[in-house]
Amino acid sequence: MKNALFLLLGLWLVSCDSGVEIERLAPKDLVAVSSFISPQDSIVRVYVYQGKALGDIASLEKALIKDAKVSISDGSVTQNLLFDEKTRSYAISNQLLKVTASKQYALQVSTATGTVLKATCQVPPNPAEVQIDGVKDGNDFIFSYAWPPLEKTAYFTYDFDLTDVLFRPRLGATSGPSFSVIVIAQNNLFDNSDRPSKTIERKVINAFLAEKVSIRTVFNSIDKNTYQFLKTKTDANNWNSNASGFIPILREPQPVFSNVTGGVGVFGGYNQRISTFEIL
Amino acid sequence: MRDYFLWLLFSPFLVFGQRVTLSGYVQEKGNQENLVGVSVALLGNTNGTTTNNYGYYSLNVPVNQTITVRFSALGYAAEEKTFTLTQSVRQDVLLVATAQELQEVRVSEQKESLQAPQMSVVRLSAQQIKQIPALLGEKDVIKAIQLLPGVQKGTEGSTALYVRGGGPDQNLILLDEAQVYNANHLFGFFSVFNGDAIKNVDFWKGGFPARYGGRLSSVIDLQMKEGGKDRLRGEGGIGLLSSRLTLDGPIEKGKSSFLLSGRRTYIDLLTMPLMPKGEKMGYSFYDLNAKLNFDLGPKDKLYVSGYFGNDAFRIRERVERSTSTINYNSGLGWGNATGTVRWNHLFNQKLFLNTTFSVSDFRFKLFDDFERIRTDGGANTSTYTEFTSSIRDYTFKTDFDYFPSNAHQIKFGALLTNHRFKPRAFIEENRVSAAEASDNQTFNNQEFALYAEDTYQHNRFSLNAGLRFNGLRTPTRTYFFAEPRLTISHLLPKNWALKASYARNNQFVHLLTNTGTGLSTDLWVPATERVPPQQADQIAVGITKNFPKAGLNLTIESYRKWMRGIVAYQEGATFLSFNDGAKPLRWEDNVTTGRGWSYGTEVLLQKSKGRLTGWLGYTLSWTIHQFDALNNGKRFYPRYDRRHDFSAVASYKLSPKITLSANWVYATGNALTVPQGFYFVPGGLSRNFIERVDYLGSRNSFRAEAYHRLDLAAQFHKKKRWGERTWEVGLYNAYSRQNPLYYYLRTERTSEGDRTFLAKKALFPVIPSVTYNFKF
Repeated sequence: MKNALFLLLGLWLVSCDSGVEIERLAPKDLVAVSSFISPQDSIVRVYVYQGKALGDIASLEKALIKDAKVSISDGSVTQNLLFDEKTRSYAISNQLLKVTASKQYALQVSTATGTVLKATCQVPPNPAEVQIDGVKDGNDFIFSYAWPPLEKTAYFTYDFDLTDVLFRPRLGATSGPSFSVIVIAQNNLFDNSDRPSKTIERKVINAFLAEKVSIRTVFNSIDKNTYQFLKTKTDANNWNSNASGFIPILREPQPVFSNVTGGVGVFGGYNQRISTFEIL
Repeated sequence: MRDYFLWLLFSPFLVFGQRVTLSGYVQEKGNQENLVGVSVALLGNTNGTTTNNYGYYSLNVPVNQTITVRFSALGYAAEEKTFTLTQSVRQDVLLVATAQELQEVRVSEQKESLQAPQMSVVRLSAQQIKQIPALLGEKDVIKAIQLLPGVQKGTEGSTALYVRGGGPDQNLILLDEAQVYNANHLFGFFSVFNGDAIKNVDFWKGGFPARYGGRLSSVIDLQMKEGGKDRLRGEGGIGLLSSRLTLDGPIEKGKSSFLLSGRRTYIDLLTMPLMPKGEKMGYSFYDLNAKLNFDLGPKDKLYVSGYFGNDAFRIRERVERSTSTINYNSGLGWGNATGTVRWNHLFNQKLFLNTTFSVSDFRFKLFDDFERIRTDGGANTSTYTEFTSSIRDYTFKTDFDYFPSNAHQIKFGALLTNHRFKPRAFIEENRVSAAEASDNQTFNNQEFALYAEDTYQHNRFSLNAGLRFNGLRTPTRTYFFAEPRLTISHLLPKNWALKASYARNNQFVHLLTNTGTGLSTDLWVPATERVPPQQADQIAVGITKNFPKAGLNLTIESYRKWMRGIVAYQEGATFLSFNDGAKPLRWEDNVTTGRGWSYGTEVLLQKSKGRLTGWLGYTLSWTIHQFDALNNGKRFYPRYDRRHDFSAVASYKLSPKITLSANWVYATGNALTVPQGFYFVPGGLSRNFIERVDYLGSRNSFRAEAYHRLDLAAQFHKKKRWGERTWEVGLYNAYSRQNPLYYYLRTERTSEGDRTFLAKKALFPVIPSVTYNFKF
């Protein structure tokens, strides 16, 4: 009988180590660092904020950390960033940092309370120019994008607008060119697996009623850190809007991606290319 | 040693000289219901047997000797019969139901129950379940099971079961051998099982015999009453929420019987007058159990049974405006239907056959119909959206019971099930533009199994050893698995018994659940090539001791379970995630697979004799999950990891007319992922705005408040000329504990800026109930 009891006791004792590590930082130990760097920036900025507890006032000013030591290194040269009161961020001219395509950078932030945060990122290669294929359809212009080659651009986001518009209202042509959506993605974030199904087709209404009109496309090739951060942040916002005192949350929680060790936030790289396509 | 094993192997087939067979059915006196698990013991001999699931027994006895056989079961007066047999005889036995406090339990019977090669199993009778206080007086089988050690409940009020660290999908729920997929009424607050129609419940949480398969964590085997063959009986109740009525009786006296049991809520009827003009909102559920039972001859019996239940929630609204009229019609509904035909056949006194054909159907529908008719000449709007999910199973099963000797009881059989899943059928229709989008995936899988098990007894040692071959054929892949099962028991001095078990199980269906509340938005999906079957190995060791004088039984069990291929939603996913941008999402894109471990120790002290009956249960347990795609691949505690779980259930017969009952439960709070702080980051590449982001910590790093609750009830019985009536008054959550259902963020605007708090949503304060029950 004793042996049986000892066996049960032994099983109970070996059960105690679960191997689970719980991360639950107190607000005083929670520091957020964020920066996106690109060769096209004139000033590189890093934002450093103290985490706050639930119930605290959501005030940017109260969360700002102004006395941190912030540096970015490309492996050979380390540049210190200084706090800029105007933009409420740590900044350095890109003429000094010289952010370059396909190069890796390391960010380090040390706060006065002794917290050290580190992150690395790689700036994507220079993207190829975005091509536009379009046809005239009455007064309208229907077009689609041909995205740059896969090997150069794994993740990207883009934006576009009409530029160089020259239009004079007249009888029978009171409205000038504008965009009309035929098929639109719910967000502008793409990874390679999205490409086959995320074909974007758009229409510029009344394009041929103008004397002159162009489409300006701002294409950002982004690294994986930036992609994951932006995507999870969007999903997390959806989760929050799903939570209420009326019904339980019917969505899995979505933590926002972080590649910062010692804290939270993101250090990402992107490479921008702006192209203009003249319709007329 | 080798000779011993050879003897063990071949002993079932040895021909014993000078022995004949005594066999038959054990039934309840009066209604002639077959009694399951009755101990049939040859006095003066260590070997005996028990009746099978249809009340049949077979015992080898010496020829030309006077023998006494004792038939005994909890809740019935034991019956001893003396025979001097010269040839094999069929002898049916009738047992008289008796009150537990009057029952005499012999030491020898205590030993038989101790020695049985079963562990991690509890049998609950309908009578026990009816004595447990319940929410709004609605007696519930599943709620009773939640009070047992090793079983964690979900959130407040839910009927979801988390057994030894397993998920709510890992419980095989059988109603007369037909699978029930979603056993919930009223968004999970009540189970679909009407206690008046249930005869027995066997609940297995480990050490599964080979005859059970297809789920990892537990088996809940419910047997419906057969219906009395002697006279018409009735039973029913009128409660605050619903009323129920059960009728049973003979079709042809002594040969065939029927049972019909129905229940319906009247929430919709009660709330209808309170609705504003132009608005109709209502909720209703019903269920119906029916059973027919025919004796076709001395060797054949036929049972036909069915369950039909449905829940419906509907909102209809008509809004008249100066420029338009809006018609809004939206609804949510789900229901189960099962049907079983079983044929029992006796080939001879030693070989019993049961053949089952069953159909199980579960369907869920959510729809939204919106119409705006403009009276100002503007464009009308008319849209219809519908989401449905369904499963239909056809099962053919054959089970043999072979009684070669008193030392061996062999079961073997086969099963074939066709599963048809339609996990997510979706229609989106714009009636004005005639645009339509739809998605409808159908999966047809075939599950098959062969099994054999032997229950062997030799002096103080007994075992149940079995092997189950399981398989699944999907359109793209076929899976085969071998599942060994073993339970051993060794009787020790002073009424102690040492038990151990091992079982491997595979599961061919998954449940995708966001909330774990048992909401019908939980989706059943099949195992596929991308999301393969789940598998678990479980070992358990335990000791058990009987205290015959006090009528107490103490069981302590420790278990360890390894789970592979368990399924969870991806971070941020929901059951209505149909696309990611323009990219369509199949349900397989929304899920991820991983592994899990659970271990713990359970203590159960039961008192089944005397005026005070009930149990104390305590579980100390850990459950751990690990998924590559969740929590950065690190281990975490799943939502229902519970360190401590305690329950006390008591029923006291104050007098023949008054029964008092109470239960108190305590459980560690759920492990949840909720915002624990916040920080600021740029909103995007343009850095034009700074955005607030919630800090969640690692997955499920927040512990909800502990759950505890006291329920009280008193039953007042009175014999009437026509039968018996019982008034029951109850208090659910007697001290009005605000147990958390879920947490959410509540924002308050102040002059300094916004403040956000984590708020707790509690559901039930103290809830009184009054129920009138009757039977005749």
